[in-house]
Amino acid sequence: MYADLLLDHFEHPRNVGEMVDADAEAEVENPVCGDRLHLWLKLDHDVIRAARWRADGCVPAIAAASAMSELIQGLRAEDALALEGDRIAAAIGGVPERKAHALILAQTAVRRALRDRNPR
Amino acid sequence: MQKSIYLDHAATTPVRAEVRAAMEPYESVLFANPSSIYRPAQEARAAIDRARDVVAACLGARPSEIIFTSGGTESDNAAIRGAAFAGRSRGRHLVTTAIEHHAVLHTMEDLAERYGFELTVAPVPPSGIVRSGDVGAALRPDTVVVSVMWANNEIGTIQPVTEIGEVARGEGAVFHVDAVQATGALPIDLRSQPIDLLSLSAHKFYGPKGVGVLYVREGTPWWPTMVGGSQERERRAGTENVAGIVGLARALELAVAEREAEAARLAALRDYLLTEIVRRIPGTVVNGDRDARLPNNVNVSIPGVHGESVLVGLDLAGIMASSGSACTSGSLEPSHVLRALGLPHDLAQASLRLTLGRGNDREELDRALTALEGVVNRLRSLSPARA
Repeated sequence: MYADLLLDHFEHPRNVGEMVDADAEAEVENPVCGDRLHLWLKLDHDVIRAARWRADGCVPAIAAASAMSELIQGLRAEDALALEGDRIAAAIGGVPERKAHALILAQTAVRRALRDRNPR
Repeated sequence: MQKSIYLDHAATTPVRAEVRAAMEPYESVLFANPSSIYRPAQEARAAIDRARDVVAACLGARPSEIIFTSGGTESDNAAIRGAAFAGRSRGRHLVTTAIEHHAVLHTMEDLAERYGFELTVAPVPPSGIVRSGDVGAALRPDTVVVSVMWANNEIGTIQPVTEIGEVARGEGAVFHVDAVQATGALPIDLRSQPIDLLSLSAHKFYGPKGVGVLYVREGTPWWPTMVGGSQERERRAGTENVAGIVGLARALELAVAEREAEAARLAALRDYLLTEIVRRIPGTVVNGDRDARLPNNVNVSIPGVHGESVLVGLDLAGIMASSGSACTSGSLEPSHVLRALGLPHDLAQASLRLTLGRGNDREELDRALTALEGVVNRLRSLSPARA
């Protein structure tokens, strides 16, 4: 049902944790599935230097959060804002159609965190 | 890698060696169609007759009351549709409960939506045990069929079918019982039960998939829905699944003979597993009555984790289980059974069902408990704090 890459991100999630001095953060939820994702970002001149997250959700929700955190580190905020769900899906070897909400959750967390970030 | 641990016996069971051995000749040398005239075909016919006698004896029924089908879903459909159509001149009202299997619920909903019947679904209290009074309150003078399962497939709760049957039949309704999960776990003697129609399925008691039984008590107003050839005394057309029928009978015979000892063994394992989960995993909620439940069923909700994530985490550790979470079924809504008991959405999503069987022992449960504890702790450590 799930690709090995996805299961690897689920079993060994990257960049899990919290940040006390985050420059941006957001918590997003998918009420249907009950998935919850909290994202913290550290920025330096609008470049994402570090991403940390915590999630409570189904398998692809956790894997997508993990992959997203790897993809956005080093990206300029404007590029991270443009991150597509397909990029996240590709990084975890694809996601079943009915699990697309996991990608949207990760993508929404990035967008909301960056839009609401503290102005520097 | 350690041997995997199968804890999903309510989903299906492996075919026992004795059952495979009994079936083998009918898949090879005795393959002939039992409706044919030559001697090998007559041997196949005789095997079906013997199987019918065995099944009847196991259930306290007459051989003429036993119809072989393709399994639980067909038996449920045939029982309910057959009694509803046969009773249509008397009434068009159907009664069932909120925790039935979809094979019953969807059959009744289909009769209501497309065939002009009316359906009342009786509520079920948080214990998961149907109150005969709730069924009684749903009855009307025009109620033709009442269907209540003997034991629930998700939470294992055992229903007072004798009491409910007396209430239903007292009002003139035909009483159907889905005994798919109960077979082999609970004593079934139809001589002393107010049951008109009963469904069972071989693969739940170490028989093959694709074969089941529909019991129709003599004199019950019931019409066949599968028509064609004259098999099963014109009550279920279609060439008989001879090997499957032979396997079902052998599996049932073994299950009934071993029932008491095996049920006691499983109940002790179940109690150990349930107690240990509650002890080791803080916040665990037990779903369904703790006592009036199948000897092999454990169903809990573990707050703060997602059922699907627990299942996949267990699977990666070689442990097979199931959940009522929506994510595992492909539907948007979590288990209708857990929701009917009043469980909130998040707890229904966080449910875990472990169902034990012949192969399991204490050592396996200890390994499963360690794995479960590890998976839950890991998932909880990923989880953001509740705002």
